[in-house]
Amino acid sequence: MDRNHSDRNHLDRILVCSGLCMAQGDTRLDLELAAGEFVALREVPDRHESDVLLAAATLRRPATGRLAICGQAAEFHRHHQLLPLRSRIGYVGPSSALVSDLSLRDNLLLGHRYFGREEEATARVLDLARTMRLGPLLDVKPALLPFECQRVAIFVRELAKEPRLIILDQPCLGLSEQASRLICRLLAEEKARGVACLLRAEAPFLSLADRVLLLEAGQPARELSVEAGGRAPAGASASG
Amino acid sequence: MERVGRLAADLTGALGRRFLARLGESLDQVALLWRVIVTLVRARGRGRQIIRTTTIEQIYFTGIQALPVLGAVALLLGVLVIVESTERLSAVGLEEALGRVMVVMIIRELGPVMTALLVILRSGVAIGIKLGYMTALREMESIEMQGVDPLHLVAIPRIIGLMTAIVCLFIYFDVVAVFGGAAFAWAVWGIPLGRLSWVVSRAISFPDVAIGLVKAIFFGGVIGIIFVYRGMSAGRKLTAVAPQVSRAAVECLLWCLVLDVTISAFFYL
Repeated sequence: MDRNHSDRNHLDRILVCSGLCMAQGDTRLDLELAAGEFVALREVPDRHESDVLLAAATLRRPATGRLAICGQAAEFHRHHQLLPLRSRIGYVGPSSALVSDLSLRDNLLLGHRYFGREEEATARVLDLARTMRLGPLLDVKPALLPFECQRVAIFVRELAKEPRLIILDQPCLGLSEQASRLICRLLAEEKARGVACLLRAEAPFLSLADRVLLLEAGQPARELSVEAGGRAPAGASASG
Repeated sequence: MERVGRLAADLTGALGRRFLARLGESLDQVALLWRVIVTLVRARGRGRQIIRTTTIEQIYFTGIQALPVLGAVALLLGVLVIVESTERLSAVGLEEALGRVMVVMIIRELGPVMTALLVILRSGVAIGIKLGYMTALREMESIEMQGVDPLHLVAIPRIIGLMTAIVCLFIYFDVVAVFGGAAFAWAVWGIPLGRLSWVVSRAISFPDVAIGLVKAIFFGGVIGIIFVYRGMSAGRKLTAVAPQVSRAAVECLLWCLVLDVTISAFFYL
């Protein structure tokens, strides 16, 4: 019975970071993210792009430490091993992009087409796109779209993958309040489905977080309450 | 004296570092070739439709769209070789050797090299810039986040398309240079067409064509790999794309000439 319970716990852990450190003297991060759990990160100093979030998305190799996603260790020296892991992660960062040669529809369906899942995915992906008011723009090339539409399309593409883990770095970038609210609603649905999320602490997405971690150079990560995480300016003392 | 010694040490140090850097890059290119082969095996059957479309587009761009310019170059070169050779060989009574000269100069040597040069200038540069921009603008990263290897989806179809097109262009170059050149020389200078065709057809042999084709295949592979490597190593700076592509063009030209000499030496010496 205990063993079953332990196995289930192990399976429930979507992301496990142990001793993750991006550079010498940087924060050492130990984190376990369970299914349906949303954790926000607040970094000091506030960087353009979070190295920790990039590492969690398997896009940047950490200096030390280990990372496992859905029970599978990320082996950064084996590129082909990272690809299946990445297909389980929905990553939206400040520099995420759409493929400029492809129309919006082709961008949203690229991964599904490549893996021969187009038929089963098309309806769901296009429904999601229409929900996010991208319906009339599906045949347009990304370069011709306003920045906000491109950002929304990136969210749609990543959510349409049905990821187990969502990583959001600067999620508000380029989004209007209305679009942010719509995406928050979708994320809340994902949370209810057991998807875990690691995000940069930014309102209104912060309201979805269960806890906030403060990352300071040379210090172990400290936990803050969501209220304190949203309120406190970077570098303020922790209350959690 | 001490100053001269220090200068010499600095110079040899700089040369050594440069050599090691170049060696490292060359080894990286070999590793990329290995990765291409492994990816082809590992990801076979995936994304067939998308890869086929990209390959066909690359063949169209490299092969079909280059036909007019390559045709013009081949024709001019053919005429030049025929006119110069006819005059010189007639003067020493060696008109019979014209066919062999045509085969050696055009089919064996100039055909593959000129085709490669045109492909480097037109398509290689375009591939390098495209991949460089895709890397710098994080499009490659986005493709990877879909669980798709950009090497398989973006780079390999371009390499295959380029290799296929260069082989076809090489055949086209030879035909236009030999027969077009002969027709042009006949029309303008009245050099007998029948005689030209006869000496060339007598001199040409299967190994000449086959070795030309081997060269074209190797050139296609080298051009593809080098431009893909340089494009994908541009990093995240858009300003790095132009220098990388420029280096790739020079490297390709150099490697194609080295391969040309090596293959010719291997088969003919």
